[in-house]
Amino acid sequence: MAIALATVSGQVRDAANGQPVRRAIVTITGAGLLNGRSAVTDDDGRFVIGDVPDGDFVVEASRPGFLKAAYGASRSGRPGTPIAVRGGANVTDLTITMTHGSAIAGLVRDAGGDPAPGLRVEAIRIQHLSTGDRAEKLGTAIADDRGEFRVFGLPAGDYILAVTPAVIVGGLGGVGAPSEAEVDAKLQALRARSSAPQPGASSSAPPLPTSTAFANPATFYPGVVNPAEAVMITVGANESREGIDFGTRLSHAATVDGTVVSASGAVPQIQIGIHGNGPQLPVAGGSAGGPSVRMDNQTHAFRITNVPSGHYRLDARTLNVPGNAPQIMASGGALPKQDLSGPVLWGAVEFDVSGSDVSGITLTLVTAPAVSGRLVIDRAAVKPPASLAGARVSLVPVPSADPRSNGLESPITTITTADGAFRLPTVVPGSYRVSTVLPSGWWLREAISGGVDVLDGTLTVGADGVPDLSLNMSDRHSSVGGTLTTAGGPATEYFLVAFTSDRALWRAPSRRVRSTRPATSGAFDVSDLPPGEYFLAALRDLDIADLEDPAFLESLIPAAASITILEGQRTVQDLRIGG
Amino acid sequence: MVAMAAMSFVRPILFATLTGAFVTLSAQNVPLSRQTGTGAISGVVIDGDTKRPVAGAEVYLGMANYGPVGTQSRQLTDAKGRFVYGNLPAADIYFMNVKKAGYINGHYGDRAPSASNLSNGRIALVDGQWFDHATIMIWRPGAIAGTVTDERGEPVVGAYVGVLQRIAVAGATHLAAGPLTTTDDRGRYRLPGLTPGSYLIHVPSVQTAVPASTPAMTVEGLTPGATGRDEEPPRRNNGALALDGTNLLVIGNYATPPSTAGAPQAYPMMFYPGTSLVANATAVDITGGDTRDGIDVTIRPVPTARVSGRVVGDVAAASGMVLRLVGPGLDDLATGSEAATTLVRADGQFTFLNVPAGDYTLVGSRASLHLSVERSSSTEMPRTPGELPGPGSFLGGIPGGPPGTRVSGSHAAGDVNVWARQPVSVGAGDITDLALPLRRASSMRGHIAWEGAGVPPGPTAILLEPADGNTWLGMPQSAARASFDDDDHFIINGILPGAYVLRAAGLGPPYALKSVTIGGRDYFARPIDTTTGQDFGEVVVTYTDRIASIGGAVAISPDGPSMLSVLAFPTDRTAWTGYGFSAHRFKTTGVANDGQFLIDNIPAGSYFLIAVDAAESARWQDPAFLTEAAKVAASVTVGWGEKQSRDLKVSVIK
Repeated sequence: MAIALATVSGQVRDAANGQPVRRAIVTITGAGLLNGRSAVTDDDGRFVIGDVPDGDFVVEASRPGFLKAAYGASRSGRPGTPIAVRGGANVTDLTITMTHGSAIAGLVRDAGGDPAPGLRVEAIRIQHLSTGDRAEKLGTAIADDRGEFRVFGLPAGDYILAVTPAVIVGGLGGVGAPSEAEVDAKLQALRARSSAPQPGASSSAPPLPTSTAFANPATFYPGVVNPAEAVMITVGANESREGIDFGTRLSHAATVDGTVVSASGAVPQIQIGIHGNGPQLPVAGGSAGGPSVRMDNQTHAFRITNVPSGHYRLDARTLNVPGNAPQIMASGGALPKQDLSGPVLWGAVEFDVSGSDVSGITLTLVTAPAVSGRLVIDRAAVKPPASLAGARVSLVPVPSADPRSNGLESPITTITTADGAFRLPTVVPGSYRVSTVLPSGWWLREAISGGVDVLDGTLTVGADGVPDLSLNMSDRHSSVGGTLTTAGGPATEYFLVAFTSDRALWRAPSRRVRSTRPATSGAFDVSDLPPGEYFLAALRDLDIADLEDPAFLESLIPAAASITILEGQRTVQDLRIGG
Repeated sequence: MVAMAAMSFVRPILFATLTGAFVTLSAQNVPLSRQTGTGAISGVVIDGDTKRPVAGAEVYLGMANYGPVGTQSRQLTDAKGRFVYGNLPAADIYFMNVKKAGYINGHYGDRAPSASNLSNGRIALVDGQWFDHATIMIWRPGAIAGTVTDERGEPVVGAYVGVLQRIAVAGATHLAAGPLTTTDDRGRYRLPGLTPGSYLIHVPSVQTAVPASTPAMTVEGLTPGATGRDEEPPRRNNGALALDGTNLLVIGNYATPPSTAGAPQAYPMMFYPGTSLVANATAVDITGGDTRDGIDVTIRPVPTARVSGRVVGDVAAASGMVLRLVGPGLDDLATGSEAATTLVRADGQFTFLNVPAGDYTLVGSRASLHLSVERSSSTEMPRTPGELPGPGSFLGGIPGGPPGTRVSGSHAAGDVNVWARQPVSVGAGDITDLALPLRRASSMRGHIAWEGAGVPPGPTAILLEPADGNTWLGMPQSAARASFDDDDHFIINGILPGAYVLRAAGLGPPYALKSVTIGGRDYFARPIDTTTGQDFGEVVVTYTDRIASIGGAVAISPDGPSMLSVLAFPTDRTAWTGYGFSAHRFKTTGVANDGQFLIDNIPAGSYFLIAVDAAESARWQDPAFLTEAAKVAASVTVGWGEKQSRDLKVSVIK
């Protein structure tokens, strides 16, 4: 039985001038194709991809120097519209528009002002959300032998440029950076020693001083070490910004010494980390010229070398020993291994460095508090389960600008007993999001701690822990659904956003701010929205990150429908675009 | 979620897991390089061309066999290019290196720019001595720049451009890969960091075919199990052209012309100024710190043919093996130098797609070995789909080539004893029924023996280096290490027909390889002939700790060269070629400021000995130089456990 195969064809055009883009690679991907299937556009920008089976496929075009583009996407980086291949019918005349990437070019200099070949220049795009800036590294270049760099293939936007040593230094100990006066003084000392009557006896002469050490931290345009002082470079679409000229800085590097102690006296194996103040940017070599922490597990003394001036926080916690964890299984599968056998100790200390060495820092470890609670069945539940055993409860650390937040990277998880009780024996103080894996058909309605529903925010665990958590689960689902149409039929190219009218709850990630795309029929559905007043808006283009931005949500309200979500009910709301 | 975390502003800049560090050493255990004393070294870093001081250069002070000296082994030079090291213990093994962005790395004693320490310059200090004239010269490198355009004159963006160099390895001429880069959004490329020499510029283009059933990860050239957590993921954009129902052409790594129905085209590898044959390429000469701009390359599509066939022999053992079509003269180069690659299917069939017309060698092997010269760039060629890195990947510098020469290679997963190699001539038409006979590599069995005074060495690996540096022979080595404590036997598989020299890996001072015998015949000083394809047994590899050395003093003349080297080479002229990568009977050493030299750990035998200007010390690879040097050299015969002494005068060799 032969399966009918289709041909997919079309043309790639330049968004700037509508001209064909030749030599673009057009690739279709989707279920039914083991590997993406590609074609190269000809001199008229045309492509033909044969032997495509039935299915829904994403069609994307790429070409070095251009921004990757998907068929149906309003611009680069946005999701495209999948094409449907049915019954082997050919899909023709697809048009994909590509935007030529922008470039940032210039010269980087060393601390002495000379062109600095070999430095790594990174372009970090900053997106401004009203909740704060978001940073993403989009390009890297190595300065050539003239110190010149060129980062290209960038989308339009605001960029911070960071320059770091391309080769990671360190590992050999400190680097001396003596001044001319220091060198003169050393040579003078040697001359005095040489003229002494008995050179062999010169071992009594005072040793030469160690030179001033330096660190080579990441430097940001226009030449600042603190990213908060960086000046952004705004680049338009298909723009080549040239003549960006800036340099690295040497920072006097201090050594910080201290000791880890614990309230109980015993110091277990710990992991220890240092965090600088200010925003942390995704710079590859960010720590290359920065601090390096070493710790002696016998004496519990630590030494941090290569510390540029600034405010720092050092935090420590018991090392999780992989493979030494009790095996806990739940319906969701194996849990990340974690040593729950002993108490988790943690501690943090803050300090300032301004060029000179710091010693005598004490980091005290204390026992982390427990967090306990109970999973309860909602009073209105339709079909309560016989046992509550085996549900998974996790606390997911939330990154926070608060320096008191913990430095944990992985969630802590436990499972409930038959009566729904759970206990996480040691939780390092900090901010967490509550997450659960519940029996099929159930959803987490509320998570009350101290009278507050922490599902709309974060659970802040203090040194003494938190009031017991009450997790309310329900099998009655609230949702909104309908169809989205235009005069021409289903509005498949649109996005839908359902968001609460309570502006206080517009922080991200929020379970009350959700988006979806309609199916090809125009039908859409957003389920498990907590009851309340909502707006429902349709829009042509959506960057998921914008959902975190209150100003963006505010801008949707004038064209949005007001809806009410009721407990356990499906609200139907059809939307029609245009007249 | 991963992406969100990476974009978050708040991240720890460092989070180290600690298992123990800064060990406090008692005084008697302090290594020499960490002791303090009363010696001092001071000097200046200067530009070798302008002779002006270089400020902000990073000077590194080390001790041979110890590493960094003191707690601050690295210093930046001051505004006058000066540096001072004090509190140094008495020792005669100090050396210094210099790094400065925009310069070739420098070494104390170098008198010409070199990628690695040419002169082995060293400094000797006695207690209280101040060596106050350590002048270190560094040189600016050259650069080659240009534009890559296609047949319509449009710039080609993201194209690989690399340099190749002809070098002498093991006494024979070979091609080695140098730095690699990619063109920018204007089609421009720039290859900096070049030492003086002749360079071939090329734009590689590999037509990579895979069976249609190949998993996507393999097509991407990724290793299954790779986490993808690298900070800088490879900039790949692999798609695949389905040219028929059973084969895919992987595209995206190299410029690809559109596939016109019935007449597939490809861009062949292109050498400057416009040839696809390395023999016709024009070298670009770099003489100093100059830039040769305008080295432009135009790529043009050519019609191609399909080459398909089947392997004959142990088909199961060859399944999944990478096959390569290698152009003439490109045998020594690594991934990215092929005209086309493909994979052997389980049924033994294979198909190369889009092969430009030409004469090729069809190579199938799970062992690979390549030559390169030290490169400053971090750009790498995309890995060949299906080429999984197996055990025994290696990269290392070799003494048997010019300074900076490296060999790299790996043994892919699978049977290393199956291989194939035969010439294939591709014309205008497809080749449909090529029979590729599979051959079996031979093997070698033996054991290690100990003829020493002290404690025998720990486990060592036995390896075979191609005597003439022919990399297609590979560098087969024993799978398990031979050990005197455990099993002193070794087995080496994957030996191809040719000539090898046997060496021991992991055998450092105070140990030396003393002899190699096969069935009682000596192969220490001559290559092992493997052309008959027979297996070898009864190989005895003997180690000793009774090492031989040659020392002495060189009469230093105030008018003579400021830096001197001493060179020892065998008196047996037949040993001047075919010595493999290790070249263990050729030794150069620096003459210290007190005139003393020491060649430590040289095999017993008869040697010529000369003292020359350090700038001449790399010329020993040229047999003509050795012929001239032998006329004026002192000779010395040294036995195991002996130390011979000769005082030398400086020679000037034509």
